[in-house]
Amino acid sequence: MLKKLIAGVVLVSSIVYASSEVNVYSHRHYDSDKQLFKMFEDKTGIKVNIVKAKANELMMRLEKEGKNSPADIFITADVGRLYLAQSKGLFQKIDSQYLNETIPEQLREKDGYWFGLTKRARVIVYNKDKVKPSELSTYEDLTAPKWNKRVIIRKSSNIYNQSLLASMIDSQGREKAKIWAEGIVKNMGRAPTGSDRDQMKAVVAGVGDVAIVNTYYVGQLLNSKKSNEVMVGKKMGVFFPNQGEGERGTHINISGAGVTLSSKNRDNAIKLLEFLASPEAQKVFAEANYEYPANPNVKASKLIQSLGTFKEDSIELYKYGVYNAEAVKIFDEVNWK
Amino acid sequence: MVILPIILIVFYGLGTDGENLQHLKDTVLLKYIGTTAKLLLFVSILSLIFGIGSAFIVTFYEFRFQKTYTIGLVLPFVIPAYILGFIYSDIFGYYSYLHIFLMDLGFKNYFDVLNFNTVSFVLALALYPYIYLMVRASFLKNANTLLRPALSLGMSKEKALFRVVLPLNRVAIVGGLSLVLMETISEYGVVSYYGVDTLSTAVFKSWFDMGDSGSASYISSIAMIFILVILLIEKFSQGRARYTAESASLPFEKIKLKGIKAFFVHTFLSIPLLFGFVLPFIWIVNYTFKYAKERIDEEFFIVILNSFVASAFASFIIIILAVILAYTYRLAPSIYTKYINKFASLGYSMPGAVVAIGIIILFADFDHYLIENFGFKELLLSGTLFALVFGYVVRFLAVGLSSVLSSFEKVELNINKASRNLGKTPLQTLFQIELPLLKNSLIIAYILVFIDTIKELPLTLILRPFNYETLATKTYELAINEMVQESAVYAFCIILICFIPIIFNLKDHK
Repeated sequence: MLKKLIAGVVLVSSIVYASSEVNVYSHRHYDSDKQLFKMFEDKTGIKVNIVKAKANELMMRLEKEGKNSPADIFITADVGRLYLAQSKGLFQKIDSQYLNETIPEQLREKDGYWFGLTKRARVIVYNKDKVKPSELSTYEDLTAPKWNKRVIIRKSSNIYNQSLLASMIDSQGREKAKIWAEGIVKNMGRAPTGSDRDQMKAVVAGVGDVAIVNTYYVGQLLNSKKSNEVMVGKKMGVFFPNQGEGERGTHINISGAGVTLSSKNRDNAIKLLEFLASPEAQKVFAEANYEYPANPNVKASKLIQSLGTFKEDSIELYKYGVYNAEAVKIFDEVNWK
Repeated sequence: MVILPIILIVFYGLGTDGENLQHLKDTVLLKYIGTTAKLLLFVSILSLIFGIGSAFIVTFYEFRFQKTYTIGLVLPFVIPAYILGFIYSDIFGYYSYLHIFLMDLGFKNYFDVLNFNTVSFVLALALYPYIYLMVRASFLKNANTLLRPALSLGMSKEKALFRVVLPLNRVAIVGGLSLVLMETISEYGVVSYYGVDTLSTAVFKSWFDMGDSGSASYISSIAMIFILVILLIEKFSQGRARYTAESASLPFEKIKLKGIKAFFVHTFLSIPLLFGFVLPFIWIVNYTFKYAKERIDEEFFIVILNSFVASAFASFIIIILAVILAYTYRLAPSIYTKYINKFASLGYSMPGAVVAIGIIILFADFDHYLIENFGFKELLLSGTLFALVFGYVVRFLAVGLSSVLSSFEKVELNINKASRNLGKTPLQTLFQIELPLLKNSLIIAYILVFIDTIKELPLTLILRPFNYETLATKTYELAINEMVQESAVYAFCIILICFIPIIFNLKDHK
């Protein structure tokens, strides 16, 4: 009798335990996310538990913990990692009508293994004093002789650069992608170092005239509490490359999430994803971090809207993951630090 | 047990083919090895100059503010290298306030700080206190017996420095230096931000970017070769130097400095003090006041508590383990015990993230075993505080062990022998005679380890349980999101917590 009672209590408590929380492994380190999880907790009473670290390291933890992993959701800041997690069998299919209706097809995996939550564009920024937008056209054009010693970009270990090169491998083949990377290395104003913000500071300081960065960093500079950073932001022009007739469009990437195969709180995990895709949450993503919302019914922040609209590269995003390893190798071959 | 994760890492990939190895060899590997060697060289030279130079001056000379310097020169130790790196980029980078100010004055050319030289400088500043602390303790011990006779025999001071002081304190010098070198090899945060590619970069690239554990373990073994060389040099320096020193050092007379010589001394000492501590500290205090209001909430105090508890607990275990290992070696100094000690220290020379993965592999396998064979419902150890503390122990045992070993050296072996001749067991001797004699050194060892753990970042990020933040992870999270200034509040707490034991300790040490 006592045994049954204990078993019952354990069972009940584990159900209560299980139904009231959701465990997240996330690569996103933003204050906005903390705010969103709090909103979700207040709304549903489901507690959100988080471990934050780099995507690759969390993926390794997920892999080793295997089917016993406590994680329910894995969030990354890049689609290549989502693909990698999927191909390692870490995600499960989710069939949520709400997610399928809310998130555009290009931004989610076709079988529901992962969903994009925010979108960022990798654009060319230029020093308004030195470069006219009419001189700019495509990523490929930055390898032209006229840009010699004028291009600034961060290291090849950066995932956004890897995905950009992967997209080129897909659209033009390995050879041409390698020639592009070689050309950029030749035109670099300095050896790659620092963050995206540092690249823009170097441009304003005259180390180069153009840089390749993610859009939200421009927003962050313009809204910085430091006057020198605002100055840098104001001197930057933003150019969306590859917009011409027949050109493939500006490179975009997503930050997104999937439900883990090991998930023990699957329903809560889906609820959380649906919440993150909802207009209420998407607004927070857009305003707090200057990202483009994945939900097309939500507008980007005023500041990001002021940069104008643009044609996006319509590549199937998972390909960034397919060609990631190849991209890393090309960078090494052309000596892109 | 402590060595297991390291062994796992080195051998984990050996079975796999390491398909990217050839690629790495063809392209970047040689360059990375070269950069690593160069970085080790630069950091050694700079930290030796800062460490030995300042230890020598504050020990043997008397001048104004000498006591302030004595304490102050330890302080760069409390600022984590990655924070120092972010701060330097913020203060001196392109379009910093300094740069704008200089432009307003009409200066056209400005320097880029995001490069190799800054990394060498930053690492030397953050790490030289290891050398300073160990060498100064050694100087204090040997001052009377060594320097005075040499000087009274008519040797010039310079000659005495190079002929007597440095050789006779080489154990401490090399001991401190080897810690500096191991930290440099395992460093990833600063080097990656500043665009300097070392072997750590290659390990991260092959394992985390390419998912290729085979190549990663190959590269880790190259890093191990560097470490073995360092350990060999250390061993060589110790040689037969198991001399039994005077047990009590009498107070000795310091040489008084005035005028131009004093000026030089001040200039020399103020470089590490100013750049390693004062400047970054002013920066941190400034932004702490600016952002304190936004950042201090309930979570803030939980974060402090988390940091404090995990570090205090891990340091405690490390010191106990270190005493056991060191005492075993003391009683039975065989090659076997010696190598156990060396191996136990290897975790220190590996990037924290790599150690963390080793521990995840170890604990996950253990947990799966429990689940499959003993009906456990969920992971027992993985993702717990225990895993994190275990990680700290693996990573920082070397720091505790080397300080405990060197403090045992200071107590004459004869005392131990005498006690045991009088019928006490080895354990009684340890607890009743030796540990009380070593109390102060053990406290210092504890503080060193404590500071290292509280600053620890990469391993904490990966191994931590859900919702677990430490001061280091919070600082990093803000800094990496390019909100460096807002991270100041947390950096300030790290410094404050480290401050207290240091000040207390140095006070009664003179």
